[in-house]
Amino acid sequence: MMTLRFVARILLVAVVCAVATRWFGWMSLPVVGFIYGATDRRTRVHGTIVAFGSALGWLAILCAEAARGADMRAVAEQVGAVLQVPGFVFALITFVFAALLGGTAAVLGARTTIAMFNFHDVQTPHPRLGST
Amino acid sequence: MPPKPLALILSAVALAGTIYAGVRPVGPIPPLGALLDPVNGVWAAAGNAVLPRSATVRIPQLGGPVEVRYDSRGVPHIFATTEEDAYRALGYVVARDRLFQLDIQTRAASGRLTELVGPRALELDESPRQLGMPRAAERKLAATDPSSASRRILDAYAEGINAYIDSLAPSEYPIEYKLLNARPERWHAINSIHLLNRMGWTLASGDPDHMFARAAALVGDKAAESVFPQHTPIEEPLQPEPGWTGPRNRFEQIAVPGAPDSSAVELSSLYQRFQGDDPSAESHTTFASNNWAVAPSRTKGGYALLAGDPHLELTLPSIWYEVHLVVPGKLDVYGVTIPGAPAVIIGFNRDISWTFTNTGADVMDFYRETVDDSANPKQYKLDGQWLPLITRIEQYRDQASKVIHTDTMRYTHRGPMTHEHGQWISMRWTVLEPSNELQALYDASHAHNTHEFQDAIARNFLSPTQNMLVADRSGSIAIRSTGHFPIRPGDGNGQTIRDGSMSASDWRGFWPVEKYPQSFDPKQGFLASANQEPEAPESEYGYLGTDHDYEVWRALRINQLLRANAQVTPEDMIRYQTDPSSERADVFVPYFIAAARIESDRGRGDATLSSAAALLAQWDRTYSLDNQRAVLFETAMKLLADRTWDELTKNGARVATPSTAVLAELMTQPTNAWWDDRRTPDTVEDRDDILAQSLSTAYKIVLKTYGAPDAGGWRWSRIRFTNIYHLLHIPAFSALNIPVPGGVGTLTPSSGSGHFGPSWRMVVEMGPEVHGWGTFPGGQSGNPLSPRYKDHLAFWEQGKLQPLMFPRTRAELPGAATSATLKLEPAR
Repeated sequence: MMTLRFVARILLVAVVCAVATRWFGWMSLPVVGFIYGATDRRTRVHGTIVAFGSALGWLAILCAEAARGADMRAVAEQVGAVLQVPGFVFALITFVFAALLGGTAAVLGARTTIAMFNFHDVQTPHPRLGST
Repeated sequence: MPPKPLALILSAVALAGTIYAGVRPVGPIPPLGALLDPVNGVWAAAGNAVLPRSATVRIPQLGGPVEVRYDSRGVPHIFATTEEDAYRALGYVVARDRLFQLDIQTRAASGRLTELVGPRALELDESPRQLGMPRAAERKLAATDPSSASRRILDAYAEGINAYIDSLAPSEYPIEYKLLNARPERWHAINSIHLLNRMGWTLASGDPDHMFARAAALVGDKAAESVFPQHTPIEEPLQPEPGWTGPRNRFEQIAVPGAPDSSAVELSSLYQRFQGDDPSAESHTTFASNNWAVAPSRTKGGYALLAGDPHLELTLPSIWYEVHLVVPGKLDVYGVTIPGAPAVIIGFNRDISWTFTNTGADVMDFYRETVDDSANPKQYKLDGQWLPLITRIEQYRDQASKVIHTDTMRYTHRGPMTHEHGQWISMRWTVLEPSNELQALYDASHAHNTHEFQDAIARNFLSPTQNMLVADRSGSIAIRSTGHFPIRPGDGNGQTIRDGSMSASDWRGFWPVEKYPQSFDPKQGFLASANQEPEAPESEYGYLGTDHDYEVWRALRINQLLRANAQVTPEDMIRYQTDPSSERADVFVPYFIAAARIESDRGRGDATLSSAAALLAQWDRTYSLDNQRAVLFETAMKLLADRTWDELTKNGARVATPSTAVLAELMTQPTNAWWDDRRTPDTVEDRDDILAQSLSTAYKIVLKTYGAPDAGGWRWSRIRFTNIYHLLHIPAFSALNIPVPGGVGTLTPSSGSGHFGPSWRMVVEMGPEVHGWGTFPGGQSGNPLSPRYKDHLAFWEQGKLQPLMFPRTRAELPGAATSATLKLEPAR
């Protein structure tokens, strides 16, 4: 159940990140991450959720483009060659960048809120650790 | 849980670092945010790689609807109701396929690359500005009649480009902008002038004077004049000479090396500034073009045939873009345009086909000026009067528009002036002078016969001088070396720096058109040009240039092929374009083989020399891909040049290299002192010593480098390659190490660097219906991710041409032959 909630949160964040990126560009990820971290009081793994959600959101955008016929593999290989890395590494860099943008902002959002308002941390257990 | 300050700080630092990498470039890597953004970054380039099957856009200035149908080769056929709309649409479709190329070529031509890539391009930007090119473009544009056709299409073309740029979302920017973290700049009409000036720079800055000056500085005037003669020793002019049935040798005794001429030292260093070329490089001999036409009397089909084959620097995307413009009753022209130039440069209409090669005339001169203040001159003296210098501040800006460098340029009435070795030197150059090549090309595209075409070109195409070849549907063929050829005072020679303090030193005008090298419907039934000296010396009206810019080997070969065939077909024309045979080899190989025998007779031969000669004798003197002997000959020729022209070496490097036609002339003088190798003071070598040594050493080198003669390593396909670099020299976007047939002096010449070669091959048959075939090394799209980025390359490599679709109406280009449609409509 906890895992399901965890996955659901990631998916929700992914959708928000994809939409935000499409409308506002890459700088929307830290904003989404920060807001999520600051507002979701039922988890203590904001960073993980938003990191996965951001990367997944960007992956979803690329998949949607690929589904419309765009050759994303060619982009990865060609731009990877420009940057002198293999294509899959370039793709990985893209997703890691998204994860870092969203994830670090989420942690910052959570910690800032706690620091400013002295909220107690999280009621929701870490999914892998079970209930507390 | 209590607050964790450390986690707070760490997450803030990590986020700040990530955002920093997102917004700021790190070394050569652009800001990651804009780059990796899946919507607007490089990933989006894949979504723009293929043109939509159907699209409709509105263009504000459009007068009526325009339909563009892209054929199966990606060539846009533009159907418009007015010429302005046709050129508006041309601007739009060129921008759609080649926007980054448009931008970077123009910036390079106008000295504004720093605004795109920053200070690292400063040196590149200084050259065009110091040559006065931006000012010249401004003056040319200002001199254009606003009501002229050329100005109207210039403006319409700019509107088309800007309509495309304005319609772009950041996600649609070409991938290069994303890698450079830049954005496209709106187009201005002057950009087209910059671009044409740039072509002038490429094709007409080869002032031959510098080689002569460098040689004179080492071996004296007399010897330099001998090895850098005004006229080429082997003549096969493009203007057929009465009574000639083949090439003629004009061999004279070559003066031996003498004492250095100190005054030439100063001259040679001056030329270095303006030319900046590598005197030992092959580029000038491979940076060439061919064209020929055959009259109906010598073709199998009974129709005139024309072949065009301009050789230029090869890039991806290609310098050329194919297009077909149709305005019913007014315009119906197919051919290649240079992105940025609103004109079909080489092509055909329903009545004529045309192409050109570079004439290579000397159209650049220098003047030693007298100024009022050597440190900061404001006036220069002319005929005893002080005249004001025109000054112009050239400002170089970076990507943020911050001024990073300034140059103060000064101009006399002749042109830009620079300070060299304590002297002020001004330059006059036809490329900088008023002209209207766009009007010439516009008029040419409307011509109905060879005379109309040549007249249209002669009126306005003044620079760079070109050998304009045309064939028409009535069977007429014609060629004319067109452009401004200066008439100089005195002996008319351009190989000197003149006294700038006298107006008597100035040019006296230009050759009259009737004196241009030319031929209309010659008796021989064909015409051919391959950058050779245009006419025989006895026919020349005045000084045109020197031997050094007129290599004759390709002209010899094409004339030989055309003389031997009185039933030429389009297939023959296509085959000739990649003919791998070499007249140069035919001249030199027998000398090498004979030298080996002579050395053996002298008791100086050995097994190595004998083996090398035997291998060379096996050679069929072609440079086909599977040939395994050409490498030995080329290596021997390089060593032969090194050993023969050792007197032209300074500080270990050769500073000037005479043409191989002069080397052929020297071959007939076996004991000339030029053969002596100065590195062996105790021995006096003759021709055969040098030839034998070169061949023997070449064999050893080739064995060591490529292995045994028949083990596969000597195959020409493993030796010589074409390298077609992307405009930013990004290897991933380039096509490298392409094996190609051809060598130095063949009709499809290849260079050591492989950067130069045939840039557009075209054959046209001028029958009742005009048929064209063509290809170029690249593709229509400038997007490296597009399947049309280099889809023509395979044809080009194989020497094959593709049939060119030339429909009169939209109905003649049915849906099955249409890969995409674009409808342009006036904005409401």
